[in-house]
Amino acid sequence: MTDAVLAVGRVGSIRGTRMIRTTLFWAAVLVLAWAIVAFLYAPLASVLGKAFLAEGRVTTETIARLADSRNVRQALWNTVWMTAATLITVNLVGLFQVVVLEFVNVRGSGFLKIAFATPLVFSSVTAITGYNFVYGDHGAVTELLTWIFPEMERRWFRGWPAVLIAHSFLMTHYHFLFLRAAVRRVDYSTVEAARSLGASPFTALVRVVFPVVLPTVFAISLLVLLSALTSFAAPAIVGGREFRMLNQMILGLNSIRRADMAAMLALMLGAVSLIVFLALRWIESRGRYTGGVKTPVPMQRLDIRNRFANTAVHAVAWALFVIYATPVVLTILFSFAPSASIAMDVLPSRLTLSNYVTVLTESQTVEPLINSAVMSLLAVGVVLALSLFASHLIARYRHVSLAVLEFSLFIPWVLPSSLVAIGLIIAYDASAPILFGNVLLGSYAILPIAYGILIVPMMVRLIGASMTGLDPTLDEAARALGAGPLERFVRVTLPLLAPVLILVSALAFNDLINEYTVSAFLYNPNNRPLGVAIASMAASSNPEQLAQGLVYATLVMGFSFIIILVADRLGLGRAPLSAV
Amino acid sequence: MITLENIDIAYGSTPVLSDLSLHVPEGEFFTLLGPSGCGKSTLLRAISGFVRPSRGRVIIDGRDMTALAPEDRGIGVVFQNYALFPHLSVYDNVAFGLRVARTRKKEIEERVSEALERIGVADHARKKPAELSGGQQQRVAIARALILGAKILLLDEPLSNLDAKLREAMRDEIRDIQQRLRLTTVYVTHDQAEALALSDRVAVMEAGHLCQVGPPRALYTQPATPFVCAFVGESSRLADTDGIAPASFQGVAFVRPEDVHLGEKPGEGWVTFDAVLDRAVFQGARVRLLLRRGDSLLLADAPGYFDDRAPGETVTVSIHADKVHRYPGDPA
Ligand SMILES: Nc1ncnc2c1ncn2[C@@H]1O[C@H](COP(=O)(O)OP(=O)(O)O)[C@@H](O)[C@H]1O
Ligand SMILES: [Mg+2]
Repeated sequence: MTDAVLAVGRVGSIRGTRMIRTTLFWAAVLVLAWAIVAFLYAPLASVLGKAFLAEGRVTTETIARLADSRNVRQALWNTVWMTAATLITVNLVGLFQVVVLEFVNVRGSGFLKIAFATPLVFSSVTAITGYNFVYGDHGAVTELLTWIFPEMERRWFRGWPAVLIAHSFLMTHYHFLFLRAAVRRVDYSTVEAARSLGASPFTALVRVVFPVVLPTVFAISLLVLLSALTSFAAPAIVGGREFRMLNQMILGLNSIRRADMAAMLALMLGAVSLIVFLALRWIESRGRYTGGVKTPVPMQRLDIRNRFANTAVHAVAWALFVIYATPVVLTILFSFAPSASIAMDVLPSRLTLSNYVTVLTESQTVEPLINSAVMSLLAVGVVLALSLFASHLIARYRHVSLAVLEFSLFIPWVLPSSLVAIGLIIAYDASAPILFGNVLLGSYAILPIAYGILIVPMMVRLIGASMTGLDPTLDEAARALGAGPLERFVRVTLPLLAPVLILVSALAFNDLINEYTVSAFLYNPNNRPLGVAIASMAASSNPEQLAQGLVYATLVMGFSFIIILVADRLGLGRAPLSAV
Repeated sequence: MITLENIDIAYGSTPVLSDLSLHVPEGEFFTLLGPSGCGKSTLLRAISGFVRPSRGRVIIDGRDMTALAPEDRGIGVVFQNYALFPHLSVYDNVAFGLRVARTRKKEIEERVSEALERIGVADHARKKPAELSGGQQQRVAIARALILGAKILLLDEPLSNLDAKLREAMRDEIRDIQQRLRLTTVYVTHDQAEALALSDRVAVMEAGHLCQVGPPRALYTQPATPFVCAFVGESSRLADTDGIAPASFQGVAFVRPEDVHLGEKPGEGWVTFDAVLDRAVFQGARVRLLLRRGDSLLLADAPGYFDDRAPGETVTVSIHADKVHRYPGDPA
């Protein structure tokens, strides 16, 4: 009797939890669908409309007006040739680094490796601030140079040379991560085979190793192309009036209320991104040349026997070391310098913590730090939850709507930062029904939302890849033991994914904490983000402000350093290229 | 043809080979046999030039080649995983050496086509290595190693990536090629059956030194050390040497399964005793008996029709004292 009552009660409660579960599930589906429509499709549609429609009719007037503008033509030309030049210089520097680190024996390669790794933590607006600080009018390096060459122009780090220098040394991190990983996958016995057939080490490098990693070099070049094309911090901070690139033009056009022209230019960047994305997928689908080898022998470094070549390689490698290390070391050192020493001395007169105390205790300076941290956390948290749910759906169920979902999640990949920003501005500069009548532009929410859009590609790719990589029999085993879907997800899937989730969240947070492009487009004075604060300090001539900028830069670097260290442990270099 | 004199090799501060000397005459099929990690590959790489000895000399064809780079030695090398260039077609793989040597195009075409024809992969010339079977990859690797007319061929465990059936066929092919071209061959393996089947002479290696060098038959019938006895062929260690060796004998003794006979054998030198049958394992042509005598396990071979004993039964066996391999020393 009691047994029967209990059984009935249990059935009732099972039915109850199942209903709650079903409701939750569909609520989550609804939120996901709404977010995709409101923040991926609607902004893109608004930009397309703004660029190509006038009073409901298709028009080419925007293009004509752009073509008419001398400034636009100039920025376009600057962007094109700067991108081409960057591709060449970054490949030269990056390929040389990989040869030095992976292929030949160079003395002190441990130190070189640390120096060449700095762009991983010293990037975006932080790095440009550091470069400007050491090479600028009153920078330590400039001080040193003018002391040696008194005739020298103090303002040498300006315009296109400054931008090209910054690009050349700051965009080598793809080589550092992915080309090194690719070289390591090359079967070393093929190098030995080539040599046993009479090829010199150099010939083996050129004829055996290089062709095998060529697809990777090509893929990396595409990523560099995209970075150079959408470069913003470098031209904005060190390009000066005389050298402007496309993203600045888009920001400028937007601020003078030429949203249609800004939209058209942003779409051009988006179109190139789309081509790059498709090309990357094509390279990946062709696969790498690893097939058939069951036991690849790991790469080993060779001695350079030719005395002259050996000296030359060492000299260039150590010159690069100096170039890479100087801005980082001086940025960190001077963040501990008294303000009297900043922009005056080559090295700090003494070290003090007072800059840090000021930055972290005064509300005006600590605010950007907190703003960026909170907004980045919000973005990461929401996108993490949504991508987990989306990846779960894609991995588990088969339905046409999921193909649409998968396709939708690729959209942000081809949205450069400026296009994301312009899209949100155009779509939501007035009260919108899909946002329940709210205006996004000028609100607090617009930056976290934009940040969220920026990190979707990386989150979805990495989480999706690790989700499909899970052993399905684990889920089945839990099921056989009586665990329901939610319980399986919480007790089996989530713990297994935890390392990846933590890593991905940290990497995303790391990208956002000093984000500059979207921030510069969308921030309002009430929630000034860190990237914008750093950039304004970089341009300042007030030593106090410079010092605070250096403190920000050092803090960001320290944080990134920890993240990268953990990521390296978990094997970031093996991630798919298009996840970056 | 190949002479190593007092070679020392270390990786960092870990010595791998010390004071090793070796001579391989012209046209000989010479095998380095030993367990994994004993230094076989290192020794082979000293001959090919990929590792430089810290002491000693490598003399090839009468020339001191110790300091010569691998690319200048003109030695054919076949790698464990074949090391075919994954981005090049079969044809281009075989042509690689000729191209590096800047051979005329016409000659390359003739020589490569002929080589591909001979190894039976002419139809696959345009394919990438990954599209070939293991056996075909193997043949391409050998053809590539020999295209420059090398008189010395080094092979490092070339059969270890193939399945058992194919392995035997390739084994014979390698031996054929070696005989036909009269190649001086140094072959590395950890498989004693392979070594015995292929070689003119075998060197058994243990932990960086050579234990014994000799023809396969000599290694099998007169193993110089307990290690060689245990590693080449099968053997059981006799814990109790009563009646098998002089009472004063101190050391270890081994006997091969085929020398453990069933039943009593009358005559000079035979020792007969009882053992308990642990298990009889049917192996087709024969039955392998696992016998227990005191603490020690004894392997014996019986004809394939042996099936009338159950585990636990007592079996009488005889061993001839001459067939027992005795090694004086601490029996521990
Ligand atoms: N490149 C290397 N660096 C350091 N140690 C090595 C290297 N190659 C081999 N060794 C070590 O040297 C020993 C002999 O290796 P190897 O000659 O490859 O043995 P085998 O081919 O007999 O298996 C092993 O202990 C191995 O770990
Ligand atoms: Mg080996």
